[in-house]
Amino acid sequence: MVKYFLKRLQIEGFRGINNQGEPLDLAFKTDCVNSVFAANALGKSSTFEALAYAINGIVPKLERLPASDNPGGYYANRFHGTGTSTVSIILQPDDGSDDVAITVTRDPSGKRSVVSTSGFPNPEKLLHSLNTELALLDHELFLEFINDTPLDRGRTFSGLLGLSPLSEFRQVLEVLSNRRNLNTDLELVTLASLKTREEEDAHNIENNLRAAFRGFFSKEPGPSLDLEAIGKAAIDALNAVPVVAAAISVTSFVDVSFETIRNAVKKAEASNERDRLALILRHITALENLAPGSSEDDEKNKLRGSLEKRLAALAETRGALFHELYSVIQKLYDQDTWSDPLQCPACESKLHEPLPDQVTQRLQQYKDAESELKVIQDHWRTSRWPARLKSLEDSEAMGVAQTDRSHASLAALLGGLQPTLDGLDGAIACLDRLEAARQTKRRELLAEKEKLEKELPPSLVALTEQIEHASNLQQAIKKLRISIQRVADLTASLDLRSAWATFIENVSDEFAKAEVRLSTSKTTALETDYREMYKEVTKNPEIVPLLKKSDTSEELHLRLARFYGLSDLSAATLLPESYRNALAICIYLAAVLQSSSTARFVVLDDVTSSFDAGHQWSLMELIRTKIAYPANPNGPQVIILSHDSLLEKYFDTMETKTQWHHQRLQGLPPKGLVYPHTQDVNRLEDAARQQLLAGQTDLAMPLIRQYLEQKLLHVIRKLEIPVRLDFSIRDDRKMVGNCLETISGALDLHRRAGDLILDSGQIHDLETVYMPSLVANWVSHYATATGVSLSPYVLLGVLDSINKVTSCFMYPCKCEGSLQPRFYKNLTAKACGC
Amino acid sequence: VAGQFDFDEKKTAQENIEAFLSHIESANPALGPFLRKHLDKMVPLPDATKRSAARASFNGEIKKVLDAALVALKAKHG
Repeated sequence: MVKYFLKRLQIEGFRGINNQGEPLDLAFKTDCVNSVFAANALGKSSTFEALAYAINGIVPKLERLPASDNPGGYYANRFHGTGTSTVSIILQPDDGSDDVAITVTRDPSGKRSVVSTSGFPNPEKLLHSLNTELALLDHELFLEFINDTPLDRGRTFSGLLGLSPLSEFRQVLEVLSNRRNLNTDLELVTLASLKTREEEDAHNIENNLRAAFRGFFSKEPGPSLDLEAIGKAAIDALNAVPVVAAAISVTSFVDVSFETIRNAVKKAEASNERDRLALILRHITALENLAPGSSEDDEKNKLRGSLEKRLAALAETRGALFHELYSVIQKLYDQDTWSDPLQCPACESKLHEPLPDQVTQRLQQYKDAESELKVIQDHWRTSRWPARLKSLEDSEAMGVAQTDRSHASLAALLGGLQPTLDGLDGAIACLDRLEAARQTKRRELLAEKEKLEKELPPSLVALTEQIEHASNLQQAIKKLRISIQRVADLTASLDLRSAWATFIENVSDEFAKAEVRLSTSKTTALETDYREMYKEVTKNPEIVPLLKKSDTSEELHLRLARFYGLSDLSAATLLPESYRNALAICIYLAAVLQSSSTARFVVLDDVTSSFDAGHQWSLMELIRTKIAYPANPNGPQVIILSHDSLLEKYFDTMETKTQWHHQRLQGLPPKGLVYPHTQDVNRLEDAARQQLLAGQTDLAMPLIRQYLEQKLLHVIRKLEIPVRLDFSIRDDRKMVGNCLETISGALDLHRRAGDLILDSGQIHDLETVYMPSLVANWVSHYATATGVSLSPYVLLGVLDSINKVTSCFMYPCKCEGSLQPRFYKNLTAKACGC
Repeated sequence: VAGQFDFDEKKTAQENIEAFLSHIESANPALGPFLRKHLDKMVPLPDATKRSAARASFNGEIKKVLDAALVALKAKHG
């Protein structure tokens, strides 16, 4: 896969960089570490943001602003004449193919356009492929990584490992396999309740069928009911009675019209009393079928319990208007319209507790009330007693007037959005009244039946009763068939939907386990790298960090495998800030080395601000020697943005341009130009000479001090001259004196030992001319802060002495063909055989 | 879902997701294809305020598909 180095970046009209007509032009080298130094407010952050915008299309910091602050209005430089921002980059493929030049513009309306001036076919897609969590790293990112919850850290880390899409997909499956959601969306609980109710109904119908069978055939039916056989036997029995047979014109029992049979018998017997008896028998059966079921009280209690839970949940909330308010606040945070959790978005007052947490808690109360409403509605829908109430009111036998019927209004109340306990009590009272009326009515009908049976001839009574038993048997067979089919349909539907629920749960579980295995494997693969890096940066072998991946979730814990002899402790709790940051940086850098991104570069913005000089130095050395290309042949091109002056001193120590390419931003942003000044080895000397020649002694003196210090330290490093334990690298006025003292001491030691490699002329010049000159003209004045004003000519002489001191530690070398000055290996030997 | 599925470290995340969906379809040809077909409602994962609606929409589609399958089955077998 082709990867891309960042070769050049040009910026105009973006954020703090105006540069109208003359873009800030930063060239980066691919064969060494790049650094860009800028003092505060000189465009460093704007440079980082311009690159982020070119690649990602946004500046995260701006997108987190409240919408009321108009974040889109802060992309363009406020002083640029056209209001158009332009960021041009040149990417160099690492396979040696042609460079890709891409220009990204943002017009005053905020519209982004991307073109490739080198003719690359799909520049937007290429930029998108560079958009990984590892190309642009800043201090804030590391802080978040340390301070995140284990779950958020795990998800961030998935991104570092290139596993973000897997993490996202895992969350999708977790949402889809949530059992509570499945129960609601697929109506699993409702279906199960309906099925139970239908099975109970089928059981009751079967009992009615058995009673009608006994009445009609005067015998017990078998344990299993063969509806076809029963129907056939029944129609045969009816056909055996001539007056009845004459009224039957069909062959199937369920198609028999009992109204026709009744009319035929009525015509033959001409008796109104017989008609009345038939009606009474039908009504008695109907009323007996409407007797209460055994589960009714339990159903009522469940509904009451849910109602009380909902009312209690509602009492915890603050009403509909606050619900709207909380929803809006949550939306503000979700959409990053407002980002500060400790500031109210309405009145902007400071808060003690994070507002998103409070809002989530409040909204949960509304959700609890809402889910309990659903339970109430399901209870009302699936309970048998509301259906019995309706059947009682609708029953012809009960004779309830339309105006006295309550079921419709009760259903609207208890099955609707505002069910109440009063409504439930009213419904139960209504059912009780109907039940009492049913029992009274049944008793009256039974008494009337007894009276009629005495008045009518026994044969007619028997025939009438047989016909009504047959009619009941027919109704029961029809109902049982329907009920059995409904149970079968509900079972099939419930089984299929449950199969989906089980399926998606298994899918989610399998994906999560595979993701954990992959993530753990990749995390473990980084372990050696980040541990070695951490040790190198902190120089502390007593602390061994450990990234611990949860076996069952996405959580990632920052632990310490070893901490001064102790084991498995929390890193975030025990490590000081600089060590925590060092750990985050090392983990990110380890991830960068494993990255399969198309970005062959990493930009580090202000990542050492919490480090002291020693740790900064260690980190830079680590980057230069182990991380960055070309020292690491598979490593990325590293670009460091910094405003830390201590770091710039480190950059000064790089003796050749092949190791480090340093640029310094200068200028007067945000109105004026910003331009880079490339730092070469003579930067300090050149700058000091310019100031001295302009008569600016006061401005030249700090530069001379830096130059002298740099050169003397360079000699000490190159010749490996031992220093005292308390030799400080701190930037204080005694450093020059310390260096001179160290060098003089070492020279004296080796001269006395007789093994000094310097020739006699060099020793003489050093001891009698240059060193005394430096002490006399510099150390005794500036370095001791006596405040004596020195003339520019004296200081120019100091610069010469500095260079001559350095040359005294070099010898002519012919290894490269022509004679070149080369540092001795140490004070007793040359670096080669010349 | 039968057999342990493992992601391939050499593949991209998208390729691995694709491989996983194929594995699911192969392990459960009856239900697996429905997951892929309606995933566009949930991927990319909507933000928190829209997630419930997206999930309900996804499950609504699944419910429709399952109910239709039952109707077809009933029509075929009576």
